[in-house]
Amino acid sequence: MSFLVIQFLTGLSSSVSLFLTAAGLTVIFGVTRVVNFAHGSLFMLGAYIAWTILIRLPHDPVWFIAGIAATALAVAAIGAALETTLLRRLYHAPELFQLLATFGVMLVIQDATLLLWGPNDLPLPRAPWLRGFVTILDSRFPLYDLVLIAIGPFVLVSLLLLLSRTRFGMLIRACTENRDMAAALGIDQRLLSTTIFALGAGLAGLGGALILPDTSANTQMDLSVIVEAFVVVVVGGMGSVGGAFLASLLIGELQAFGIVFFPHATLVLIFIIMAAVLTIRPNGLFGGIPLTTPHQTIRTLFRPPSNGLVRLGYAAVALAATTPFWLPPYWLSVETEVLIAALFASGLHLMMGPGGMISFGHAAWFGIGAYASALTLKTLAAPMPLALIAAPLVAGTTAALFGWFVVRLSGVYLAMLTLAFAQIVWAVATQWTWLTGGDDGILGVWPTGAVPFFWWVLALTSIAIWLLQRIIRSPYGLALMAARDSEPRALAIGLQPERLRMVAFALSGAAAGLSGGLFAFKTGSVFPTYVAVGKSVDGLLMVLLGGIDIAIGPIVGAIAYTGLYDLLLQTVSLWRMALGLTIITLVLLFPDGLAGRWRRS
Amino acid sequence: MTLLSVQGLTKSFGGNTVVRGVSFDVAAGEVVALIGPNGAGKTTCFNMLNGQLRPDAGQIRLDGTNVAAWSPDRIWRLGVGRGFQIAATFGSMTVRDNVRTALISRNRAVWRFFRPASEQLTDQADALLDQVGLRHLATQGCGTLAYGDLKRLELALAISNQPRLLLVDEPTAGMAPPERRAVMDLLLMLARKNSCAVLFTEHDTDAVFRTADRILVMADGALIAEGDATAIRTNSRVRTAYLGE
Repeated sequence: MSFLVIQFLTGLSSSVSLFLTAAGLTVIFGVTRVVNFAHGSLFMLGAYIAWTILIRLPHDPVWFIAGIAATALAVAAIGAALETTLLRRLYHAPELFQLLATFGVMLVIQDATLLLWGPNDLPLPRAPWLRGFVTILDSRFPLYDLVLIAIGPFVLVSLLLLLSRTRFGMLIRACTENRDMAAALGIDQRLLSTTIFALGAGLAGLGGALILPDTSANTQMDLSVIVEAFVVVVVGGMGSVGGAFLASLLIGELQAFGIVFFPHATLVLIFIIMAAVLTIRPNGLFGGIPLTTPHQTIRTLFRPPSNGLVRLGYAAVALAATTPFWLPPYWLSVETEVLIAALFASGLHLMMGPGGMISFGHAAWFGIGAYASALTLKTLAAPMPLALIAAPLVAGTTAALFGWFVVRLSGVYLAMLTLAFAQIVWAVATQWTWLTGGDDGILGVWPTGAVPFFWWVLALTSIAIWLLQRIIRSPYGLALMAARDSEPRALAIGLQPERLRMVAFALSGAAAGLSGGLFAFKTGSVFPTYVAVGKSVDGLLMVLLGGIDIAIGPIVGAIAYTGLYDLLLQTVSLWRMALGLTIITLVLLFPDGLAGRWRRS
Repeated sequence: MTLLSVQGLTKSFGGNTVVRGVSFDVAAGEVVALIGPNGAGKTTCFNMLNGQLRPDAGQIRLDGTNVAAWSPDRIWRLGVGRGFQIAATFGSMTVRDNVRTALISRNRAVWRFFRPASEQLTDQADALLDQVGLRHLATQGCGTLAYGDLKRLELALAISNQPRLLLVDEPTAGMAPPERRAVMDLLLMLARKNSCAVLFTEHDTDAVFRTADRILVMADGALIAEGDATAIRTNSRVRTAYLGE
């Protein structure tokens, strides 16, 4: 009994900083309609800044509170700076570019943190008063955690009062309801957006600071927190502070008890709960802001490649087939990587372009394909061709299952869920050591047979990309685009948008799976990094570099990006920062992608 | 012969009952106008008729089959075409591909992944575009069309299934008077040619009185009057609803 109570209290206390962060995310979204991917980074900055301040202050409660408050203010200031310099320029940009820009910010902050505080975890030495405990039902429970439990409802009530009783809150609610009308009534949106961003950032900073006595500041915090905050916000309902509170309690308790009963399945459990909630209430527990599907947006005309370009493509494949005879091994290896990347990007493009669904977690299918291949080879002792068939099959089937319940969701929700799912696959890859080998990965996945592996890659990627290109131009492809352009019209001419999108999801997953399988054989190994966020970002950037509304975009993008990446990796040590800055610059300069730019000129 | 028979159709959003117990019939080939002040529940009715909204109660019988709460694609297969208040077309496609998509759906050819769509149904698509006078714009991007042409394109999409019933929500909204008349005449001509019944909403009373065989009047979610132009013109409840007399 006492064990259950203690576990329950632990869940409550661990939900508090999650609630603070998610509340920040949700109010920012409400007013600006921007999903801030960098929100986890603000949380992380909160933890690091608090460490820097608190380690220098005297160890007593008053100074501790002062240090925490100073941290929240500092992170709020960072948030305000972020809003005024970057996000303000993107409020009228497509949703996808807002997501990408904040993603870029996340990458920049990651490297900046590494640069400023170094790679080691930074624990805060516990002051004596922080080590106190109370006795509850004969068990010791940390006093600090009890204080945390009180902070959650306090912040909730303060926020709700701020929203419902003050003039500022009224303006926020007005903007959340209807931005345009609020602007028409003369509300200064710029000031309001900056203030709300600062408030949200401050809450995230506070969340990061408060976690410090329990957890060391570390450089992985940003991702783990943003994923959990996404889950909370989606489950609670976008824009709803009360929903965020309830959902964070749910997640906190789920983790506290999950650790006890299903130690290796906590993340999976969270995902199942989220799936269940969204299946019953697609807009989250508290309704939230119903996100309309992005129909009726003006899009550029989708152009299939010209016949000349197609012939050029065939010639390029023929030429590529001869490269093993004359290209130096290093460049042959780069060529292999480009081909695998082009398939990955082409699959993602089907989903993002004609399908109109944003995926921030496409690495999930790449990784599942890679692991499926490696495990088929290793545990079933199957030959390579069979292992390569397993990759798209397993990835495609999983994607179809996942797609089944996410395709009814729209843009932002879907993007967040794909990221959450990818993080869960990543967790499985690192934690289920008996299956995946954990961080040690699976080694010795080498190609077999007489035919050089490069030809396998060339043949499989070319055929798969050719099929994907056919699919985009097929009746199905047309119907898929129709469902994206206008859902009501698509329904009114007898199409079934959800089914169309689910198939696109599955095809896209299968393509990513095959490219993952090939990549496993190319490197001879599989590691959890194959499922990491970086891989998803790679795919996204390739598609966007090439341009979404152009069929050969992903191929151009894969070549350009692989080149850029190799260049950055070789020349810049802070490659994440360089990549982040590149993304931000690209988003600000070329909202149509490179291929789109080239086509226009 | 009764084509559409609606009985006791009801829909609420939250505590707000938008359509309450609406019943009416539409005969095959008949042109019926559904009018009423803004917020009367006309569009909600339409959305239930073609399956985009699920009614809380009531029956929608199409040729005797109750299609209430069916999905839009199944209702469409029974021969119900739909025009929206704000023209809904596929903005990233050419005019021809818009129509082609509808024809692909009609021919149950959606789940074909291989042969290029551009080689399919081009003649039929162009024939349909001929009917609405858009053939000359076939290769234009749909995003560059004038609004009147978008409405015509929408009509082409709505009739692509050779429907027996066309549901058209404000066919002439947002258009200049001469264009209005042209689109309205086109709608009627297409309906007559395909011997198809039309149920439409419209705020332009001239157009309503000129074209409708019968007029239904809704106010505050309920049907308050029904009859021909003269009957409606003199109906006191209608005058109250519209003019507050």
